[in-house]
Amino acid sequence: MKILIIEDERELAKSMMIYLRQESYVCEMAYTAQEALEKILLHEYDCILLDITLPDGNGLEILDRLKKEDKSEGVIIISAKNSLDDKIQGLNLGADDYLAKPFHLSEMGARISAIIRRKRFDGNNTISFDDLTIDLIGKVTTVKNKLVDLTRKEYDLLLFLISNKNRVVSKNAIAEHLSGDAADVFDNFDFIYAHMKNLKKKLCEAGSQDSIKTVYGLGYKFEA
Amino acid sequence: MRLLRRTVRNFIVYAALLLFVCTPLYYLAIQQLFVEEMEEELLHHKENFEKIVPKITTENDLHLYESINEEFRLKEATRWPIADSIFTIELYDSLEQEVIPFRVLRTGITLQNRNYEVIISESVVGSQDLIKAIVAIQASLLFLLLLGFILINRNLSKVIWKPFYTILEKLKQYQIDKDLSISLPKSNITEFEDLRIAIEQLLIKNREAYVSQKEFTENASHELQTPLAVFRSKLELLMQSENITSEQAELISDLLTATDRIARLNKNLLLLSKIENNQFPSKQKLLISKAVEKTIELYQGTISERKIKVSLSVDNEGVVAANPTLLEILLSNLISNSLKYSPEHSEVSISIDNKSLHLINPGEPFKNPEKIFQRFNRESRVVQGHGLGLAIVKEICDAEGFEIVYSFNSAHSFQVQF
Repeated sequence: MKILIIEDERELAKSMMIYLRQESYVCEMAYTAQEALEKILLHEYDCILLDITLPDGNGLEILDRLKKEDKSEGVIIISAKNSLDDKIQGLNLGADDYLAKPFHLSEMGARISAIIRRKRFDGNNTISFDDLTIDLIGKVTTVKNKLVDLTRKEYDLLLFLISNKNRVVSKNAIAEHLSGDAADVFDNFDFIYAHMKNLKKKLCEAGSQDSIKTVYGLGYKFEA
Repeated sequence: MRLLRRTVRNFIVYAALLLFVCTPLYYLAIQQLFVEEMEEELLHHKENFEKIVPKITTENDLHLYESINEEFRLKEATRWPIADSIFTIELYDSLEQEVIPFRVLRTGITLQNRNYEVIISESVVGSQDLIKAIVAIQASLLFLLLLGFILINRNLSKVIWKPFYTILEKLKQYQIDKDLSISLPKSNITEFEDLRIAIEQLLIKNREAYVSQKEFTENASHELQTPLAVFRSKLELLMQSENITSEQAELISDLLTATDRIARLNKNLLLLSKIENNQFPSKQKLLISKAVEKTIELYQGTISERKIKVSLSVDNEGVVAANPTLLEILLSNLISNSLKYSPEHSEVSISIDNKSLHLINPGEPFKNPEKIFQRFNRESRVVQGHGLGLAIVKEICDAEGFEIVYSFNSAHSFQVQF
């Protein structure tokens, strides 16, 4: 999997790259619009992370160029503005997703794997680990071909952990991923513990091996 | 008190004083003049008589003179000598047939070895009437003069002060967040022209300060997003390290939570300045109940966790024209706030009637209810919040033309009139 990170803030780009490498993605960087255009025209990528505000141009122009060149890369726009206009304009220009700064790396990981799964869709859009299988279209989870009845939140939680497999996902990132803006209400992670407990219990009862590890004090990790 | 009335009032007080003090003084002065004049006349009569005295030889001549000169009375002196004296007495006037005051000169003369007392009198009535008439005319002239002065002054003032009142009216209507500029009427009176120029310059400077302050908040929030993203990403990478001790884990976790709070605060500051800068102009027709149901659904986790009962009643539902994003934020801030401040196992009631939304939730009364819509006014440090939720609600209401009223009557009540 090849990913292009177009981001002028080098430290952020570096963090993104290190995080994605742990998922064995191959990352390339572009710090300016010029560099980005050169790379886009020369190579094929599975996903492009595109910062809209670049020192030598607007990221939306790069998006426009991609469409003109008939490239089929999945594009996630990254913006510090969190403005609706940018979001709508970006999505209209063919971006696949929108990520507002400051984002959790695990949220970025989840969005990237969602896009790649969609782009690589080959009839059976499923994820499998050992005896655990998730059908992404039907949103059905099975263990050893037996259906596991998960609530929507539990399903989202499982998918989020799997998208960031082998990396620690913080409670904070999970809270924001599951409740969106509603995470504003409390700095309280009790509801995550409850969902997590139920999820682990259901998977365990279905006979799945315990892949979700609790990382004490920090969060959770799906080991595969 | 209006400026015009104030100046006119001073004139009126001055005029009244002048009228009341000067009229009697004037009267007395005129009267004094008349009295002096009359005394001169009486002395003149006496001189005339004294000139004639040598020609009078008999008592008959004397009585003839007395009968010719009406003002002249003569009688034998009861005492002698008689010094000249002038005084006023009341006498019966046969002509007028009433007792009237007379000014009298008493003197004595000796005729053919007989002593006589001579009384020369002059009626005061005629002169008094004259004095009164003069004073009355004078007083009414003074009155008319002052009245005219006041009226002219008032009208003139109205005309002269017109630019001032126009400026005042325009300033009252001026809203720094809405009006880009203000055009004030020019005046050919130097002071008002100076005032106009000073005000226009002041407004321009204020507007600039206001705009740059707004831009500052927005820019500062924007600029903070990237370093915040760097910071958060480094923490997440640190989290991936092997062999983290539990102390280190706790530190990282606390840092992450603090980062979340900064991120949220920054997001809300950005939102506030965007609402202020009218960056949510598009409007759609929306059903309030739908939006409310969506918001309740969003907080279902919190609701079930805190065991709060949310009752929603819809009556005679109205459609609202608003920006969907803003309406969503408005409802979510109000509802999340009520969930935050309600005790567990309590009930939050939301009712929608025509074009109003009424939200009631139990809880302790606010310490400063008049400040709840101000930024960073947090009622309780126990409940975590960023102190911007209700400020955003108010800002949205202002931007969309809604009216929000808070009251406390054994429970918190927020009423929004769309």
